[in-house]
Amino acid sequence: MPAEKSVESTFIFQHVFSESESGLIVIDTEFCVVDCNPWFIKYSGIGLKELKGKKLIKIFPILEKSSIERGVVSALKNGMSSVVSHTLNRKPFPLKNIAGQVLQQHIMIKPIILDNKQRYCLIQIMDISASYSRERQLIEQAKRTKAISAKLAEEKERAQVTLNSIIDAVITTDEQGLILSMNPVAEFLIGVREEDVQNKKVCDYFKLINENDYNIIQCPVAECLQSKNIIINEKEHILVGKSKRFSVHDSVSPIINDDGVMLGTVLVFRDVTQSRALAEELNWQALHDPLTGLANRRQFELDMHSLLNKAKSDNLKHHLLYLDLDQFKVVNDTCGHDAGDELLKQITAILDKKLRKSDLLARLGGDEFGVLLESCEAENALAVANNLRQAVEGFRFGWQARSFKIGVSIGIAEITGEEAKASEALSAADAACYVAKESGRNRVCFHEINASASSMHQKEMQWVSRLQAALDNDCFELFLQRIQCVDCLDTASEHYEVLLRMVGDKGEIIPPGAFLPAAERFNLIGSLDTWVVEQVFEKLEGLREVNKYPKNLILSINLSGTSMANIDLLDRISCLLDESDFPAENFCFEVTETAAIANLKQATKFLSSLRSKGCKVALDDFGSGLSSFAYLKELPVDYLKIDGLFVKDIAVDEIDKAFVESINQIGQVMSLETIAEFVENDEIMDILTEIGVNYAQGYGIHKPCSFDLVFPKT
Amino acid sequence: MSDKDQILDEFYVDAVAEVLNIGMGSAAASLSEMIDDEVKLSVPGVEFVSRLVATDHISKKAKTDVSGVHQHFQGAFGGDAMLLFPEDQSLQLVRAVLQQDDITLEDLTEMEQEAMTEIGNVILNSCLCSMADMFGKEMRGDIPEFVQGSINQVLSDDGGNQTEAIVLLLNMDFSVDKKNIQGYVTFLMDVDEVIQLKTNIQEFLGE
Repeated sequence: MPAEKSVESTFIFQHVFSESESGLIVIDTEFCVVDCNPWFIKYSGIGLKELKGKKLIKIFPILEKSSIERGVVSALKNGMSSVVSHTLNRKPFPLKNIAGQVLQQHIMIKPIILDNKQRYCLIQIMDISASYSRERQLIEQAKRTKAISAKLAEEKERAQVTLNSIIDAVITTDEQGLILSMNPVAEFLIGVREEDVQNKKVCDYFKLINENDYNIIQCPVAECLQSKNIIINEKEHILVGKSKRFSVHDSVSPIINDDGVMLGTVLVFRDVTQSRALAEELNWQALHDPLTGLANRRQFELDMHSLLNKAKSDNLKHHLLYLDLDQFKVVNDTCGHDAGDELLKQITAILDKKLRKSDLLARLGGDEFGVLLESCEAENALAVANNLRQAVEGFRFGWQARSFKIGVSIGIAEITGEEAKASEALSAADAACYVAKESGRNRVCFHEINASASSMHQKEMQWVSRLQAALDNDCFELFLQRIQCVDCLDTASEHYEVLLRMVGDKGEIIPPGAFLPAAERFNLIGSLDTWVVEQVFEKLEGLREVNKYPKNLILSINLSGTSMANIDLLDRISCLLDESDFPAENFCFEVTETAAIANLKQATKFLSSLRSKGCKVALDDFGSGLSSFAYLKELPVDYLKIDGLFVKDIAVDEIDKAFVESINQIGQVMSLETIAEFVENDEIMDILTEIGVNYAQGYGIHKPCSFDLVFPKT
Repeated sequence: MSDKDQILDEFYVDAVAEVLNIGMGSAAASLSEMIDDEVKLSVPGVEFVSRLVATDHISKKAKTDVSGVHQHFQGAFGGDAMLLFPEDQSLQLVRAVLQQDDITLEDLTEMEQEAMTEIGNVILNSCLCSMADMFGKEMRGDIPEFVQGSINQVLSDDGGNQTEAIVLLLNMDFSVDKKNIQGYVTFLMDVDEVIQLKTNIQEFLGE
């Protein structure tokens, strides 16, 4: 190399050395600094003079036993190059930036061997503070990202587990209605596996039909995608799964991002097969009688209501039957409830057979049935009713070697559409049924259209207020009718039946036939009974005060069926007996056979209680109620009063006579005394004498007259 | 090369292994001092093989890419020294040495690469120095560099007469912070350099 070139080259390298943006230090074999560049001087803050010729370790004691020292030794002794990384180097050069922070250094140490074998070592220091801090930031960022993704993954897992655990079926779709995911419940209900249906149209799998008509229902997901609204349905949907059908509630919600863009949908549905079946069952139970399986009163009224509306618009005739079994009580009381239930079931079957499919048969109460005859003329309704009556009449109910003849009383009412309420038509039919029963049972009675329901109702309501007023103002009067001993006609008997008359506004006497039915219907009969009992005691007290209390007195007081359950009345009678000290045998209490049977247990208890005090008991109207003699064993009675209907024709009707004879005979066998009512003439009296009836009562013997006339005080 | 024993027989290999083990001992001491934790290095196996066999051998252990340190050397004999680890092992090694378990990145960062380079540098320098000492000859090592890639790329990345190259292959066990990490040290030399090495060994053994 020419001398000037070499000089220029050296000059250039000196410039490079000076201008280098890394620290450069040259060390000799004595470990002394030969030279260093301005970069190093700048960051070390030590002048060149203080550095040159000085041992490196003396200038920077921190470097003793450092990686830098080891590198320098290795370079000078072994000719090896070394790198000293920032991360592993705990003893860097004390180089500081303007802010006073130690520079992050990457150091390279290289041996320099000259041609003359002279050895040096070059230390090159690079400031990597910037890249180091970038890397720290990167790592921190990565840590945060990792923490966030871990949290996201955890939340996704949680959501997945939740989806898998809930009892609802959940399907998510994209904005085109293609399936993205499906939880296990959805897989089960539809009968597919998630992986087999992903990216397929949800509407091809979520197929719905209407449970009533089985028509296909439009896929709610398609509807939701179109309308972007939440679609909810909680009725009538049946999901047609691959292998099974399920009743479902379903809802679809759109997933819309903040910009209003539709991302997809969430379809949620639930198997409600069981609950819907349960609801139907409950619904059925609410409208049906569990024993017979017939519609109950509620269902009957609902149907009647719709028929009523129909009657308003069409010109067709509709009719309503009200049926009351005549012998149900007998069966129920003598054979038990099981028998009663069985009877109702059998009767149901009999009635059902005689009706059209379109007719509604319902059980309205204990032994009451109703029939709705849609589009049925009056004569047809009558024919149907008679058909039913005959069918029941011809039926014999057998229970444990006993056979019962059953009857049915039927009331018919027309449904005109003019009724304000369904109950009005029902009341009309009920009233007609009542008349049928009153006219002797086991018959059909048409509700009188002329006596319109409302006017009849009004009349009855008038009676209620009249009766109430009469009770409040004592507008009643006691009448007596003698009961004559047949064997001892000459003896003046003091045995009377107490009768009740109402006194009208103008002083007229109103017979009980006018007001007793209303009193019974509106629950005033109990008050009347009490009034009569109290009045009898008051009258007798009045007589005792003037020393006119009759000798050998027996007063027969009528009690209604309702009173059999009236403990207060029983207490009142006991109280009156105790207070007055009148002989209990002076009093006889009469109860009709039908009333006693209707409340057999209560009647037995009531009457037994009276007898235990010494009072007498008579069974009134015996024979009228198609009754069974079996009752007589149960009931504690002293007298049997033979129904006047059999007695009044006894002279001309052999059957009636035979009837009276047999009743009398039974009574005698059971050591009961018999009383014949309606004895209107001597001819009847003679026959009764002949038969051997103990007592007689009737117009032929004594016409009822006022208590005060029979027992005058003066 | 069809038969390695024609170049260097067992006897020489054992001598080289002994010397390298001394080098590893001094490297372990330096590393322990650097990181203030005990580092153990051992060389269970040393062999001379062809470059292809060496590639095959390492790739059997390292299914993934390898990373490590490359350092060129010259003097008594010349070649390319490399410390190589399967990539996952190099991550484990650096993080064990730096005691930074919380680093979340899947690749070595730049700083970690530098640290790795320094570790490799210490080990390779020790190996080379031990041999230089043994032969009483001058050796010169260049500045080390970090390498990364498939084993084929890394072992053929050095230009020159690779097909003819012979590899002095060392299995190396690296134990730090209760972790055991397996790596390899390779010295890639061409045939002339191997003969040079053999001559040096013979001189050393006084043959």
